[in-house]
Amino acid sequence: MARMDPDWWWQDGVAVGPHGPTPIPSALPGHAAQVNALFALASAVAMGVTPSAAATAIARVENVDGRYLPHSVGDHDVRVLLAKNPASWTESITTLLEGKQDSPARSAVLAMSARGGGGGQDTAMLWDAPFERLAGTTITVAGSRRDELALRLAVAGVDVQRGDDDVMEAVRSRPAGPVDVVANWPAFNAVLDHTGRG
Amino acid sequence: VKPSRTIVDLYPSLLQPEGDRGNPLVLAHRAQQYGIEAKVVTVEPGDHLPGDADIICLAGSDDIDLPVAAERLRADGALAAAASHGAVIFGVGAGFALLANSFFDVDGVEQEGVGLLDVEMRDTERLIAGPVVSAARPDLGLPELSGYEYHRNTAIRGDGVQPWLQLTVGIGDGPRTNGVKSSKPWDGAWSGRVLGTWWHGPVLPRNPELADLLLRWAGVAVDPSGCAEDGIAQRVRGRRIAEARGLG
Repeated sequence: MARMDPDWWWQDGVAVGPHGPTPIPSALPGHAAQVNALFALASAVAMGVTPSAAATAIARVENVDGRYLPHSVGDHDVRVLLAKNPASWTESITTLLEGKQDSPARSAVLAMSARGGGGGQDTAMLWDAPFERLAGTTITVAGSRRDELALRLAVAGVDVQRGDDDVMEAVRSRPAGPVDVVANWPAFNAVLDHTGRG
Repeated sequence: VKPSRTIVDLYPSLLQPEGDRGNPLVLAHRAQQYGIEAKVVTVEPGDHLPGDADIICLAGSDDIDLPVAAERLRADGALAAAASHGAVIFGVGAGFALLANSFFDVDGVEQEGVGLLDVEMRDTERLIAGPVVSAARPDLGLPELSGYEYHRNTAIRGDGVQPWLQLTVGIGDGPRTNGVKSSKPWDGAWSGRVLGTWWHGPVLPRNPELADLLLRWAGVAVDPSGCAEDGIAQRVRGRRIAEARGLG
């Protein structure tokens, strides 16, 4: 098995493809969003759109079905990330660390809830994501499965604060300022029911 | 006294783990809390299994790669050698099937296991999956435990092998074992320092007393009084047990 040579890649914050470099000033945070933007650019170009027109359109995307959408909640500027499998929890960890680097006062709330058959019963995936990368940081947990999150984070060496079942209450418990909320489906939907879907 | 412990996560890329990494992570974390240096070493097919491994965790789902894993482990011989040197071996889910003399794969074909537990498997021809609760085992230092079973085989134990979980919720291997019928179903197999169960995924985080049992077998002096997260684990377990009983 061998890795193929890519036709498109990121280099120093610029998308590089068969047409040369294309800057995409993406409004969305995180490595995963950047990779998604690159896929969108490559697809648009393959369908005949010029790279610069595609990049301009991609840069206007500021949320995906409510993901990443900025909300004002009292004194808090909240953005909500969806984590529904080990890969998205892993990418969220990267996004949290990048956010903390840009703004050390940024708080983090991780939320996991179970809603009947609507998901969130299986929390095993938490053990497949590298929460050890967050060791030494402080994180508030929320949602009906918050103890399962707290257990995973405690073993990873994170300073865990037990928040409320209600994710918005947990957000309000944080100091005023920017807050990243990473939530599984039921918790994510509960937040968007409160803040709107953009 | 040996100053450190090596905990092995065996063949995770081949065995389709679903949260199973939690088992070696919790073992290492607790050993550290007991003042013992501990590290988790991931061993993939082709890698050398450290000769000084203290606890070896096998896990995973029923999958097409299970016979390949069994063949590799038999050919390599290092797992059997570690067992004969007294290493603790903990197999959950597909990892339990691998430890047996034989098991049935996803196509219903009987395959040769590693043979570290004198257990034959029977093909149930259906998937048994769901939350489980087991009764306390004071002799093993275990309270009521909570887990999730996931298997297509059931175990038939040889004379020197005992079941170690008796289920108050769940199906397990059924109520008959070693020629005796009981009122409640059994699960798992225990012989010396080799322990297997159909419980799947992160069994140890929610059941820290079981992690401590394995650590004691590995010669660690356990003292959970300082383990701050055990209160969280007990809340998680209490809630999951209530849900399993239909009270959640």
